[in-house]
Amino acid sequence: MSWQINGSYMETCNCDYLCPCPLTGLSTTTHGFCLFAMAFNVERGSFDGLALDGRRFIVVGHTPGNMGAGNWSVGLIVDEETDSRQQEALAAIVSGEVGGPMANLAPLMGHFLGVESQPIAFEGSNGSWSVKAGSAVDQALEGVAGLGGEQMYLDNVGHPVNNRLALATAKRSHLHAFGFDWDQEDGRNNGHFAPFDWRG
Amino acid sequence: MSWQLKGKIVGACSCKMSCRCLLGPAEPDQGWCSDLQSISIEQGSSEGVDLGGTRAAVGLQLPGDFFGGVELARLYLDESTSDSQRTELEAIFKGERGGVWAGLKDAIGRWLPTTVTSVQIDTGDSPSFSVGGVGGTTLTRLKTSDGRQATINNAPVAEGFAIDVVELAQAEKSLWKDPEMREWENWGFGRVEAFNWSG
Repeated sequence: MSWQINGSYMETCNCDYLCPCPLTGLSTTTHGFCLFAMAFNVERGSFDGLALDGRRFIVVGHTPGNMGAGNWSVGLIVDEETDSRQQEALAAIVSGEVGGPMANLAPLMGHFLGVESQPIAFEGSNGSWSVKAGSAVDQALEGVAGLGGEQMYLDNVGHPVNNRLALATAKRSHLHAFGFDWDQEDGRNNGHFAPFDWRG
Repeated sequence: MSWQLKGKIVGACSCKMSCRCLLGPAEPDQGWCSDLQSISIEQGSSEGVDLGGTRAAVGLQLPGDFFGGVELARLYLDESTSDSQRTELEAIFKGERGGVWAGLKDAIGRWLPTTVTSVQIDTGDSPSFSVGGVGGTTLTRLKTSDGRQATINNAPVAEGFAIDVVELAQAEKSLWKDPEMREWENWGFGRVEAFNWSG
């Protein structure tokens, strides 16, 4: 059995920019806990012969302390056109049970809260990205540039999505799903975006 | 006349991991910033004086973040520095020879007199630096499990020093004391940076 998915990713979390997780091995948060929504737009994908092209999904979660301390509560939101077999495939990928980058995080996931279906719009280009999933998720971010106007990046920080992460600040983060309630529009919290290419 | 310096910086500041100034206008962890960058000059010359192999350090004291300017600075030169090398290095770092340090000249309020002391720098896999009488620290490079160096690219403050890539490291906590500057402790942020300056 083999699988691969690639496409675009964007994320916001509740840490003040810059989230210290990538630089401290998940050992620090800026507010003592973490709320996050990692959104993926699969351009090409397959799972044991099952096509995953065009699927969109969002991994949302909460950690009661530093991410590295574990006990994550995680839910999966899939786009409403995802059929049941695709849903099972995406859940297996996200949980890490079929290998791939998320397998390293599997020991930290204490509670899987289930799968919810929503219409998901994933939009953006260059340094501006937004994702809306019905009333569950509405988030947007803007890339941060250096003095010369070039996008800032972190390289080789062990993030599961990509070795190269673009840095961003969130323009808005709204999460209302699986019992999570998070609304933030002060522009202080963190974001990342990157292409991704996962396989297992 | 022109000058050129090529080498590596090993530095630490008063922030935790990661320095927030590096990312743009931001409040440093202590509300203020103190920074010490040791400068290992592998190749260089100025006004016909060979500067290859010289070692220097620049201590900076800032009331806020880097974008708010530097109130005090001091140049430290290794005791092996000759008089002619000292003349050129002082002129370069104080912005009198043009180039990147001239661009920073107006941002630095006052230079304290240069201190000649032992400046030791290791830019390798276990970076470290020490400035005699002031302090020293050892850094642990931040790497992936398969050994790739973590970096931050296009960070605004680094670009101000004409540095595109900052190699990230965790600095061992230590105390820094210069009798004419604010005493400070580095809380974890360290870095190694390649530079290629000219003017």
